[in-house]
Amino acid sequence: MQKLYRLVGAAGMCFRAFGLTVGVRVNEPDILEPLNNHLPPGCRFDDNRPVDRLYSFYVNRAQALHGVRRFHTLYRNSAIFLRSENENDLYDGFESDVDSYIAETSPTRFFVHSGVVGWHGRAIVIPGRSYSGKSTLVREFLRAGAAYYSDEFAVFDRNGYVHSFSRPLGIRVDGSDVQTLRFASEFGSAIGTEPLPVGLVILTTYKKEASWHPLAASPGEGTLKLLANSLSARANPSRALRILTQATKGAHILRGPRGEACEVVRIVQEKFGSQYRTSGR
Amino acid sequence: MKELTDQLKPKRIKALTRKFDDELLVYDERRHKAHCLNRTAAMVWLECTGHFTVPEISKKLDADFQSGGDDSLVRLAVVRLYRAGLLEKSGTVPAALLSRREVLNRVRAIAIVAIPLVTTMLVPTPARAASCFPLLHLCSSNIQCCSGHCGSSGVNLVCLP
Repeated sequence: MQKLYRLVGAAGMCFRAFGLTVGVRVNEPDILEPLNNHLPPGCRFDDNRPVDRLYSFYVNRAQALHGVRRFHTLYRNSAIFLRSENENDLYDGFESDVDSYIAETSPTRFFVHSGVVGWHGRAIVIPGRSYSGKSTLVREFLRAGAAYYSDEFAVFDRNGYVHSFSRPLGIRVDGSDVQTLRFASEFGSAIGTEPLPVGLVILTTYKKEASWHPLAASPGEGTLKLLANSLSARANPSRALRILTQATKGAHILRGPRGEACEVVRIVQEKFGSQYRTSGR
Repeated sequence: MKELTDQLKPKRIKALTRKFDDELLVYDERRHKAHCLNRTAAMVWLECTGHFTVPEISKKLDADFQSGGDDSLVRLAVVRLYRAGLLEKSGTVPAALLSRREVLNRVRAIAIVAIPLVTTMLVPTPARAASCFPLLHLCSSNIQCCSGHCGSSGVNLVCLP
């Protein structure tokens, strides 16, 4: 570790996000700036605590020699986490690893893999695995005027309220593997800042040429589905049960495969639009 | 077979529970499975203490189920609870008591309460629950890749088809 400190001791920073402190050290001070764009949403700088995890960036700026490959390296604590010739790979790897780390170990929040939008003072939560069509659905809700919370994680506090985790949306075009990052503002939507109670949980996956005929599911079933997409339920199941039952209490749960996202938004608008506007929790 | 299984005293496994309206959420920490029991299944499961036989449990719940002494509903619940792994596997598993169709026919005739339902889901490891990486994304294990294959490409590990 001492060797590593010497290697990357040029500059550094500490930030705190969702109850965890993460340290970053770099061997080239100028990479701290691009790194800022990859920090978790809602984090704040904090140099006064011991870090829970340390990332070290070693960017190789040595002169390129013919036939010699230059690698940049990212360390997670004292072990090599990533090596790449492309500096941006390090930032991307850092971003996804920090997000996973926070989602798995945050002591203050509970993370569920899902898309979330704010809709008339309630959160619509769309749990699901990758390629289930969450981001497309979130995008469609944004176009209809919903506030953006997340297309990756629903972040629950202990009262079951959902907080924002607003990285740009990762939209896959025509089923390709490559995600294009889009900002909520591109769809005329604002980023939600207030924690919201859950109003609706949509359990759905995209099926080509399907039509959405949602069935009402029980709150227990909704909770089960959220558990099945949670990142830290195994580590602390009792906390998971407590938070998720709190979150789905009083929420509508709809399930069923969907076709086009705009159809889902239209039906939700018809069924719940006025209800959410008038009712409090 | 009927005599044998009538002596069976089903015993529920040790698990975390949380009552939720009419339902009961049960988390099996050994298998990391979460179960949602509807009211009927939950009532039967809670009576499975290992001290009572199926007819005895049925008798205890008769007032709630209003089944007129018919124990089909409890038997069906016990079978489903066994299958979900919510009862300890000791003694004879009562799957052979009655066929499912027989039970359902009898239950349909008597039931005022709902058919016992047990919904089960596996709670994933964090890596499985997280977003998977697309092709050629840097990775460190198979589980991270949507393709399920993290392989070597030059010096790096990347997601391969």
